[in-house]
Amino acid sequence: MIFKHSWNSIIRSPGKTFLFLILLTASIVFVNLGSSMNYSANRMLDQANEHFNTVVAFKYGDLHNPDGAWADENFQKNISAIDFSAITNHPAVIAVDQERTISAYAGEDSKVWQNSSPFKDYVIVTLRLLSEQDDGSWTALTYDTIFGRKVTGTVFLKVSPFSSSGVDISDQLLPDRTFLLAAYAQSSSAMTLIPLKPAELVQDPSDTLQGIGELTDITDSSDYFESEQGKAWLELAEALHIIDTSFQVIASSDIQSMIPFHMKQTWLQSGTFTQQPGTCYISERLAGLLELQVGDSWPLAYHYDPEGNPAYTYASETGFSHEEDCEIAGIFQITSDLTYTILIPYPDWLEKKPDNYDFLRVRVDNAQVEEHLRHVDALVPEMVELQVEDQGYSNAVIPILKLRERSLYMTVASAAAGVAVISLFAYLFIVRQRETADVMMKLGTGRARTISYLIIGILIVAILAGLAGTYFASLVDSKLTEAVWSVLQDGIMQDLRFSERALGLQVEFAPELVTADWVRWLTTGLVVSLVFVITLVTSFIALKKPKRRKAKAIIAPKSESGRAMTFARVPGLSLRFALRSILRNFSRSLIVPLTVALLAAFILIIGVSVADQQQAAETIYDRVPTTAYLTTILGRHRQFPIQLQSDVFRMLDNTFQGRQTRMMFQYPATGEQVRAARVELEDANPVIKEFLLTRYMHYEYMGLVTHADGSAGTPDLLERPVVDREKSAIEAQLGFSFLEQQVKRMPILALTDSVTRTSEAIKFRESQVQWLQGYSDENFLNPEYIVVLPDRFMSEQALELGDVIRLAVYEPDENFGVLVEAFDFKIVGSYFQGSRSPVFYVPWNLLTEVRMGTDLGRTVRLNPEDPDSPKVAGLPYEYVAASVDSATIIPENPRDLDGLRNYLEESDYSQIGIIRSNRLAVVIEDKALADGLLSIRQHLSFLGLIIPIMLLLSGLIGFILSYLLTRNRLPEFAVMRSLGSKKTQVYLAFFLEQFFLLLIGFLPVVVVLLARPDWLPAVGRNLVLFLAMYTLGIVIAIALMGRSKVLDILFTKE
Amino acid sequence: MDQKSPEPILKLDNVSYQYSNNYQSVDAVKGVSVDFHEGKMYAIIGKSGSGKSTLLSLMAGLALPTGGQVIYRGTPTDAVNLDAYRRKNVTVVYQSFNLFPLMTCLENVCFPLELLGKTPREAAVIAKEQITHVNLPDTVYRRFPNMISGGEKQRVAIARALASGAKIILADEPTGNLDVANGEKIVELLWHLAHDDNYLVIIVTHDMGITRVADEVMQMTDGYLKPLIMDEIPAIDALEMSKLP
Repeated sequence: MIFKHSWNSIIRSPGKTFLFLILLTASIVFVNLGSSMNYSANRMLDQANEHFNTVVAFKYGDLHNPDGAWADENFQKNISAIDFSAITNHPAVIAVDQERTISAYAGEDSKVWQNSSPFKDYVIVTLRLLSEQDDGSWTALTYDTIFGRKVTGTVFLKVSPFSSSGVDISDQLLPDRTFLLAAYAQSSSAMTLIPLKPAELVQDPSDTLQGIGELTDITDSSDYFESEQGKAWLELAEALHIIDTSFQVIASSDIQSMIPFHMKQTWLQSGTFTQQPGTCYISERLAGLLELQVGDSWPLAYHYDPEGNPAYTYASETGFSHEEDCEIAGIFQITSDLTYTILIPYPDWLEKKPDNYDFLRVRVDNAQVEEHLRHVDALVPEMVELQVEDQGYSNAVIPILKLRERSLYMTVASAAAGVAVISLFAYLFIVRQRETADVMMKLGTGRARTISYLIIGILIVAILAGLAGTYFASLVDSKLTEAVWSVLQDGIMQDLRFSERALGLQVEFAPELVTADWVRWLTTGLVVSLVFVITLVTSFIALKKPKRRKAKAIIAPKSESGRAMTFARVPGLSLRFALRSILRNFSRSLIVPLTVALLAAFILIIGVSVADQQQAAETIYDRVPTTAYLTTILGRHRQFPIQLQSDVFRMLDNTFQGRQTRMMFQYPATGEQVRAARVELEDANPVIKEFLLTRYMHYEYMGLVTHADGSAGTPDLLERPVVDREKSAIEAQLGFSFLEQQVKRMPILALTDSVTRTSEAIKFRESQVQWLQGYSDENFLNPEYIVVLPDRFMSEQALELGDVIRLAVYEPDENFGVLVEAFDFKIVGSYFQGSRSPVFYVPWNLLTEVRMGTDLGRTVRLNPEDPDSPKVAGLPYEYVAASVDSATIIPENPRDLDGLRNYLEESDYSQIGIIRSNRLAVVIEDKALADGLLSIRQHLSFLGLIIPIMLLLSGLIGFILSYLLTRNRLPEFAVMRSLGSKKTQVYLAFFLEQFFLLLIGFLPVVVVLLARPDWLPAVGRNLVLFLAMYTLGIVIAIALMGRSKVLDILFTKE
Repeated sequence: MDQKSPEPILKLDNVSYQYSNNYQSVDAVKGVSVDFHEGKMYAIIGKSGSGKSTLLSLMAGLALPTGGQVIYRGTPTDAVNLDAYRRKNVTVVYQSFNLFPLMTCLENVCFPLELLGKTPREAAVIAKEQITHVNLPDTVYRRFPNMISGGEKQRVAIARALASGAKIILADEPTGNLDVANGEKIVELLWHLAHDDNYLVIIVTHDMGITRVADEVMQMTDGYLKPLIMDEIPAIDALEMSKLP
């Protein structure tokens, strides 16, 4: 019965019911579309997470020791200070890859000559000397090769009269004697053996081995190898053989995060990744050579030096570090780097210092990279660079995240609309039946049955709407998602050529759009449940007895009769009525100005925020400097030899006719000409504004020339350093220079165009360099004698900004040995050194200004073009400028990075991992810019969405408030009509009342705008639209008053 | 008092009125024809739902009849501007007073005058006279309707009715919300307006006391209006009347 009555109560107002059905169906369709789209976006994110792997590579960014990380004291010191467990103990971390390179001997059956062997050029042979040559060397005929691959069988060769350490051994070289010797086999037109003491080939030689000289005469010792010395020789040969034939082994704690696998340079042909101890991975070629398959076991004897020395890691005295059978767990596709390398999971028994500048690789959850970077940033020293290798994940998910964001907006907005529709109709269907419900309760129907009566009909309509909505949504959701998805593909800076956002291989990704029936049904179920909850709550409200409202006391005008007409002077009946109502009913109407003030303030704030974001979008190119740098094809180093004319000048102008020699032009040029040529090329280039060059030399601090106040500094300061250029005979013979070795160990002098904008100085932000007043980074573009020093050095030497110091500048040179000059530099800045190397910074352009090699006895004309110009000592000005160690590109127009990309592609430059004809690779550092732009775009897009919603809401709120306020005034409306007021008069009176309330609420915003007139252009339009929308709401509400039943109101009996 | 206009000021000619919506239609007034003359007080009685108030609203120009004509001084209301008709020619006094709650009593009375184009000051002068006319003290000028008694409210409502200058006063249960003493005073006031000031006063009422002082009494039954001869009034079923709300 209740069901029937409830249903009848609904169908007896078919217009209202139909409207409810339509509106609720529409809401359900849109909520379904939003949730379906959201589901699709989340599934696409899942696909992306499965498809991509992200690795954060930790790279040591300070100056590198050319001998390797194991020998780099600074590296070892800095790395040992890092708390690795804190880095890896983060929820985003999936796996950690630490790598160590060791060696493994696989026995004679698995012998492969290793190109990386440190002894590939050494031999131990017996030979007979034949005759002495003019240069002091001897011809010889070999007999037996005890160790080595360069000499096999009986061959003629030469023997050097100097040992490898420069000792003259000519007196030991006797004809027709048979010698046993260890030697370096130098390949030239005729092979020359340079003898060495056998003890030099091992790290901890035995006493016996140490007693053996460069040459051992065994002519008369047929059983020499039976002797103690002979056995020592054989042991040495065996040790060298083991080292020479050992495989390189990389122990990795997460093999699949290693560069070759992560960059897809190789992949498993068979087997699977496992971190099981005792397993190993080999290349397809090695597996073929050794006839090994997955599952086979292979005996390996490992040896390594815990300190890291890569050359001598096996000694017969100590034997192998560890021996075990390894099971082949996987065979990978051949790759040049790893063809003869064995990969093993990082074993427990391995304890070795870090030996790689790329010292850590952390596989992290794709979506949590930024979070992890923030976590890590405080844990690593400033010279550690973090490189994200995400295989293109971050770019691939941008449209997916946008899709998800849109879907959320759509879901929330349509759900809100749904709630509004449900609430409205709950009011219309339920609250309007309050009297009926009251009667039912009085008749003893009971609360439960009365509520059932009130809500069953609506629920039936809701279920019908749910069915219809789900059906319609199922027809269009996948098509709509696909359409939105395709629109979202066009994002910001999608061109990833040369971008740091796409380092290495980019994995193709084409996600599949997925929708699910259960999502639609669940969504619909939730909406219907919402209908149930709202109608139930509304029913309880309807059944509640209304409280009697106290009549509101209206305060009478204080004066007597004369003031009873307070508004007599106000012209116009409607205006009088409106003002009277506002002032005498203000507390009840206060909700309007308050709401309006809030809405207007919100729109004002949004408008200002939009203007800020637009301004941020305009200025981001200035605030976020975008640079590019030259690098190697694998992008491992930014510091590598670059030729000024054949690399830098040619990049600026590929028709530049530079000869790839150290002389730049057709003649030795002046420094001024070099600078002019550079400026001219930079000016003419359409996409490159300038190059910032850096060149590394070495320095030695000589002393203080003058204090900043002009007073004298170090007394008796030398004009130039005293350098002994005389080479010993040994140095001359071996092409070895003690001076050069000494210079290479000196600290670095960086000649750079900028201490703040170059890639090397990327961690030096302007604020971190304390500049002498009047100086800035700009000064570094000129050939000025200025220097920026590390703060620690300055305090150690008690130096002040403004002091002038003298530095000896050293440069090892392949043609002239070591170039040495002394120059005076004014200290114009200091920087926080931290744990970085104590690098001094001076302007790169000095290289085109200073004359190096003045002590070499060479001369050059002051003006190379003028044959009559006087000659001065030294090398041509541009000599040292010809080579740079790193180059940073400043784009002409950061707004048009695609232009730079096109230019680089047309010039055939390589990208990291993508080799083209020009093997120099370029990386455009555009991530910060792209992230900034994306953030601004998203912000603007969000605000752009909020503004129309706010405006619509304003209209709605205007309508609701006006409707509610005027609804209580219907008797007045009716009386006015009954007294013969024209409709326009009545409408105008109520409209003016609501409009004035609107204006009162709007006043604070007007005051703010008077104080900040500069905001007006940004917010004016939206505020006018707000006023218009709210006013429209008022108009509609007032118009609805006209539909009220005047007669019913007037003839109501109390 | 006996001087009556030869022509009725208000004439109902076969007036009928039908409420209708999509589901039903109700004939609230059926073919009512009657003449009303100035200087007389008429009482219309009848059960709830008999069509009394509907008939009143038709005479007040708040609605047009669906059949027949309401004729004011020879001109049918469907031929005139109803707003102007209500402003100038007819005025209504309601049971629930229908005063503007946010206006003082004086302002309430001024309102119809201002509608007629008087300035607020001119209107105030006239309004004060009308307030005095209905025997209210000038202390009510500055009071709001919720600050005065029911009887005073009804007097203010009558003052407002008089202020418009209309010669027809329609009263819908004017004593319905008043106690007996106040009700009698209001009836007396209306009687004097009809007989002393030559107004046409038509009162829709359940108050049998009014029928005794009315010049003519009519009964509305199921939409039909029939005059009652004074002697017949006691014959009205007392039980039936007692059922009236």
